[in-house]
Amino acid sequence: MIINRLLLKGSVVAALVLVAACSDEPAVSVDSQAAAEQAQNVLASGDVNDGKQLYVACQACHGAKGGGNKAMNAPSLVNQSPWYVKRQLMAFKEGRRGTHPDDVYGQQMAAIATTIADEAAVDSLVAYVDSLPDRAPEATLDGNVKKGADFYSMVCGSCHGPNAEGNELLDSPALAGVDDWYLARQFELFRKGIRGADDKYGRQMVMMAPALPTEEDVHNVVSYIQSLAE
Amino acid sequence: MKKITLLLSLLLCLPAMAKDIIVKDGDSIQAAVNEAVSGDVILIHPGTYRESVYVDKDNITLRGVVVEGEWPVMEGDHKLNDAILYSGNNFTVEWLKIVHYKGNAIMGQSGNNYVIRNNWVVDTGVYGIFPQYGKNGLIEYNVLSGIEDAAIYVGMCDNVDVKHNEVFDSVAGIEIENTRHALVENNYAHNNTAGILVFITPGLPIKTAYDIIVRDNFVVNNNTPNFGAPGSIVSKVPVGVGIVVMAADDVKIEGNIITGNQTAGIVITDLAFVTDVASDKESEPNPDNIKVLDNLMFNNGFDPVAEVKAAMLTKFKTTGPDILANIGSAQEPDNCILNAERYTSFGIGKWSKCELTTTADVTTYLLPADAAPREIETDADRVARLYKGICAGCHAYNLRMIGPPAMAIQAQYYDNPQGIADYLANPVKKRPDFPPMPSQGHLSEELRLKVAEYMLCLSPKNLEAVAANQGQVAKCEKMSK
Repeated sequence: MIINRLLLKGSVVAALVLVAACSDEPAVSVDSQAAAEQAQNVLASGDVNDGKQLYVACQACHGAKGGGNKAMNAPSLVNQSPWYVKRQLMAFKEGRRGTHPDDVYGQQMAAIATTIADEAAVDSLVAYVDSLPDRAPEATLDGNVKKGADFYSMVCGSCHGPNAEGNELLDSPALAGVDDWYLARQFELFRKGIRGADDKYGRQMVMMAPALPTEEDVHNVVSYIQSLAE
Repeated sequence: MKKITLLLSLLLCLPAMAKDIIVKDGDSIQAAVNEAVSGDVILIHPGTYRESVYVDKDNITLRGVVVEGEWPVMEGDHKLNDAILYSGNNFTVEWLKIVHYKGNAIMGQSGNNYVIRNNWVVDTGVYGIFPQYGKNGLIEYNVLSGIEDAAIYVGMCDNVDVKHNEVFDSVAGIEIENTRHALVENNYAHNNTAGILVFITPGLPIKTAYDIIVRDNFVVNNNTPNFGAPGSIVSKVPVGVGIVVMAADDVKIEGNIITGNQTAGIVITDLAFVTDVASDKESEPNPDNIKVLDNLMFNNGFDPVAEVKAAMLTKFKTTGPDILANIGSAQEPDNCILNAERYTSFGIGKWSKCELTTTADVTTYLLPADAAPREIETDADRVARLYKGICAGCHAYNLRMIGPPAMAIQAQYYDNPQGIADYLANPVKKRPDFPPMPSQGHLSEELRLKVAEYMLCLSPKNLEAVAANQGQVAKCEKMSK
């Protein structure tokens, strides 16, 4: 712990290099570990009814306005439906997500979420995130949008809605407005069974993964979804 | 005494004499069906009938009585889903006007030896006449218009004649899908998005379409903008096509008049023409052994869709094609044509000249004697027949037909067949861009549960991807034994 604190200053550049060098392998950077530790402190001592104050714990990675930070592997939060953000926070907190040994980023998030005091605190956080203005993330992938639209309407749109806006009746989150790189990564986690093994909603996506047989198909669909958000 | 007993029992065993049952305005057709026994004819007099009729008995005829131009009208008020569903064998329906239903005018659910003729169908939702998974059927002298998918949709059938029908103002005029031994003759298909389509839909229980003749039809001015439900597979059919052969094999096209279709007269293609989502390893995607014999074609392709326009530019042509076959394997020489020089064509350079000159030797694909009623030996057979005869009409495995793909339902209900069984009886609309699921409450709870379990077991390979799902996989393996 002391070592981490000493390394905190000046470690950002080193950490970024580390992440870039090992981009195929998920890696927890030193600075994000430190950020996590700070976050845990804030969450442990914060007022459960003050979402804005609690959110200070999140902003080191997810940004002051919830826009996310790809360098930190932290997705944008603002365009998502509050019911889904809550479900995921509770899943992280209660051990239904971020438990698989290969889900490095998920484990990070789970470690932080377990220090959220209670459901009231989760509700406050979700309400605060929901109050932040929506903003479409930047495109980082360059898939074939037309092909992606074809797959999307034939398969994905059945549950995630015609405009990727999500459908609470089907427990399906919005996809439009979620970072393309994050969507692609989650899909691969589902495909490998790294995400969704211990959560019934996630398992639905594990079962759907064969519908997009190749990484190219996934990128096409994700680029189409990105085009819906723009 | 013994003899008398024998005689009496013989008498009792004789079928009741077939009788006419009269239905008049204000009566219920379903009540008459409930009363009817094998061989009965239900005579429906002029009037307005607001109901859905389900016929699950053999040898029943529904016959409209038309009096001085007054028809018996089945009126769905845009609220009822189906006008007539039948699952019995040797069913005949004729002389009915059917309007304003949301799903189907007439849908067959695995009945054999059906006759559907002289009906007048307007704006009945997704399909007009839709025999599904039946053998030996005749569809003739019907007039249909205003249908969101196919006016006449022959799905997963064998031995069917579709003759002398007029289909117009619909997205697809006539569809012959995953069907074998079909004759499509003397029909008038005009002002649809596409006139006559012969094709394979991947992801259905029947995987092939072959031995099909499209002959002596008028296929004219099919330029109506596609008004299929956005996102559904039919919504991807390009506007302005006369005849489409997609992935089907052994198709002969002869003697048709094909004019004024703005994208192309005839399109021969693999599945990519409509969608790239065709990952059914059991469906062969190429159109093989297609024979285009003599047809009259002109004024096709005058304002084609963008993809075809692009193909024209590469050939320095200013008018589009009578025949478009430049997509993938459609260009292979196992396809042939007569008098190729008469037509504007793309992609037939390698085609051979047909040795066959006429299909006149085939006068019908109906069977010389009735097909036997489908044998149902076990409960499992009955359940499989129900799935293929009803559910597969809207749910393909991994793509969106009318309803969501079966795969998505499996993911949602993987450990909860009872949830599906309950939903079938009382469906609730959950998907904003899909038509509402019609209730299947006429099926018993036990059957609904069994069909649900059957659906969850489709392609169990997929289920095996989920370690936590071993219980379901084991159950499916047990069922298939």
